[in-house]
Amino acid sequence: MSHDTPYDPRRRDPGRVEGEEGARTARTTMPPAEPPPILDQLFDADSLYALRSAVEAHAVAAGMPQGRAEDIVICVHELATNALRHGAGSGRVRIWHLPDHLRCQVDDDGAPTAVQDDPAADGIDPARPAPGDDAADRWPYRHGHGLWLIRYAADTLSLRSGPDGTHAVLTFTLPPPGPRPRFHLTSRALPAEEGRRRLVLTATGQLDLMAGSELIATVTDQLKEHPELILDLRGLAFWDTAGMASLSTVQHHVDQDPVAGLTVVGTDALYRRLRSAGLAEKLALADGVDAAVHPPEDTGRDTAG
Amino acid sequence: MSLDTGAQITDLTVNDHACLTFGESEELADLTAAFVRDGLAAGSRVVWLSDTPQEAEVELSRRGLGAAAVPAGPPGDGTAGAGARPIAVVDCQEGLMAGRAFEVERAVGWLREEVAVAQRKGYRGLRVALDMAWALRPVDGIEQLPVFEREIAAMVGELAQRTACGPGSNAEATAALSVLCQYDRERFDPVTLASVTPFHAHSVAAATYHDDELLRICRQYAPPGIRIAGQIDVQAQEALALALSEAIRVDGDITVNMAELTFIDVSTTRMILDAARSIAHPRRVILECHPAIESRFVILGATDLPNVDVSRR
Repeated sequence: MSHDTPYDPRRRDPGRVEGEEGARTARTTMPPAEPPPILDQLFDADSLYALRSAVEAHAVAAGMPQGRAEDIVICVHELATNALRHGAGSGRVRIWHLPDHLRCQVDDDGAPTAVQDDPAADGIDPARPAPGDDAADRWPYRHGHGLWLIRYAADTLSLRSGPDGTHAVLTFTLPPPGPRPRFHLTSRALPAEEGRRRLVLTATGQLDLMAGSELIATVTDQLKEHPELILDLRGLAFWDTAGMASLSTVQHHVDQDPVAGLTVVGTDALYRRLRSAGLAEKLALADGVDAAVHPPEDTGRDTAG
Repeated sequence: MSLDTGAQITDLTVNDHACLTFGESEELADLTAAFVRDGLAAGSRVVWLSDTPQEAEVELSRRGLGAAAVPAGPPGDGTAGAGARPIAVVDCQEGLMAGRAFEVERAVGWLREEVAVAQRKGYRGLRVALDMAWALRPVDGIEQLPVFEREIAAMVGELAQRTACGPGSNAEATAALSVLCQYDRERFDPVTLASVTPFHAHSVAAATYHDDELLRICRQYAPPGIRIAGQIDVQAQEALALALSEAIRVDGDITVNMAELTFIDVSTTRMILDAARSIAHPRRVILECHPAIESRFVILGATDLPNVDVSRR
C-alpha cells in the first residue's frame, strides 16, 4: 500500500471493522484469521505510567517510528484517562499489528457518566461540526480536549458508547518496511514575474520532529529573499504530529510577516489528515504546484477542499 | 541563632548564613543563580566557591549571569581591578584547601580576605556561595567542617553587629557578609547534615509542589517561574495549579522550565496555556520544552498566544 494513501477503503468506515455487520463484511475481504494482539493490558488510575511505557515499547517494536509511537502513547493515554474519569475506573487496552497499520482499542466496562458534558473540556474553540455519523463525530471536541488531540494524531478514530461502556478504536498506518527515506528539502526559485519573488520548496522523506525543525528554519530563512513560498509536500513518505505541528509554526511565521505568503501542495491523504487536525483552515492548500503558481481567482484558502 | 526552616532564597538578608540543601544539580544552579542575581542587584560582590567551577560558569551564563554579561567593577567605580569583578567563580581547592587537607584557619582567612577586598573596592557587601561537595571526598581535616560553619556564623554575626552599631555613612564600617552553604541532601549523610545545620540562620530549599519518582514540580528562581521534570498528567493537576498560581503572582516574565519533562497530557498542557493566557501584556511566558513535548503546546494553540514563546532546550 502506498503511503500517499494511508486510508484503506476497507477501513474507511470504522463501523465496518467494529460493527457487527461490518465484521462480516470485513471478513470477506480481510484475511480470515486475525492475529492475537501484541499488547493486551488492563489499566487503572495507578498504572497509566506502565501503560504508556508498554504502548510505546510495543509500537516501536512493531516498526513504528519513535515520533509516531509517541503519538500513539498520547492517544491511548487520553482515552484511558477518559475511561477512568467517566467509566468504571479501569479498562483494557489492546493493540493489534495488522499488515500495514496498528489498531488500538481502548475499552472501559462502566456506563459512561458524562461524556457529553465534560466539565474539564472548557476550550477556546467552540465544538466544530464534524461530518459523518460516528459517535466520535458527535463527541464535543475542542482545543484542550483529549479527543481533539486524538483527532489530530490518529489516522482513524471510531468511538462507540453504550450501556456496556465506551469502546474506542484508533488506527495508525505503519511506514513501509525497509530503510526509511531521510527528510530532504530542495528549493527552486521561480522566474521573477512582475517583481514577485517566489520559491518552490519540495520536501521528501519523513516529516517528523527533527525534519520539522529543519523545515521551520529553512522557511524562516527563505522568507527574507522570497516572500512567496510554495511548499510541495507531495513527496512525503510519512509524517507524525510533531511534523504536522511544524506546519502550524511555519504558517505562524508567515502570518507574522505582512508581505509573506505560503501555499501548501500535498496529496489527498495529507489533506485529509490536515482537515481532521483542523489545520486545513489555517493553511492555503492548492491542487498541484501549477495551481499554486497560478491560483484561480476568487477561491477560498482551502482550494483543495 | 534559631533555625528558620523553609526560607526562600530570595528572602536572604545582607548579613546572613543560610544552609541550602538540594536534590539535583539543576536545583543547585537555579537557587545559586538567584542568590547571585539578588546580590548583584543589591550592589554586593558575589563569589561562588565551587567544586566544579567550569560547570558553575556555564550554569550562570545560561541564566544571563556569566562573567562576560556582568560589567566589571562596583557600581559607580571604574577603578576596580580584574581581581575584584562583581562576580567570581572560584575553585574550592583555591579557597579552602591546602593540597588535600582542609584547614579551618586557612578557610576563614580566605573568607576574611574576600570581605576586605569587597569592602576596599567599594561594594556594599559580599555574598559567598559555598559548594560543600569537596567534603564528600577523602580529605584530611574533614571533621573540622562543623567548626568552619561555626566560624562563619560568628563572622556573620560580628559583621552584623558592627553594621548595626557603626555610623551608616562610613563605608569602612558597613561590610556585610551573606554566606550560602550548599549541601547535596542525597549525598551527605544525615549525621553530617545534622551537625552543620544548627549553625545557620536559615534553611533554604526550592519550594516543592510535587516530588515522587515520576514527577517533580518546584519553583524556579532564576529566571523566575516553575520547573516540571519527569512525566505529568491530570493526576498532578492540583499541585500544578498551585505552582502556576504562585508563579503568576510574581511580577515580570514567567518561565515554565520543562526541559526534563518527557510526557505531558492534554489537560495539564491546557492548564499551563490557560495560566499563560491569564497573564496580561507586556508580561511574557516562556515555555522551555523537551523536544518530545514541544509540538503538544503548538498543536494546542501556544503559537496563537501573543505573549507566549515556545522554545526547545
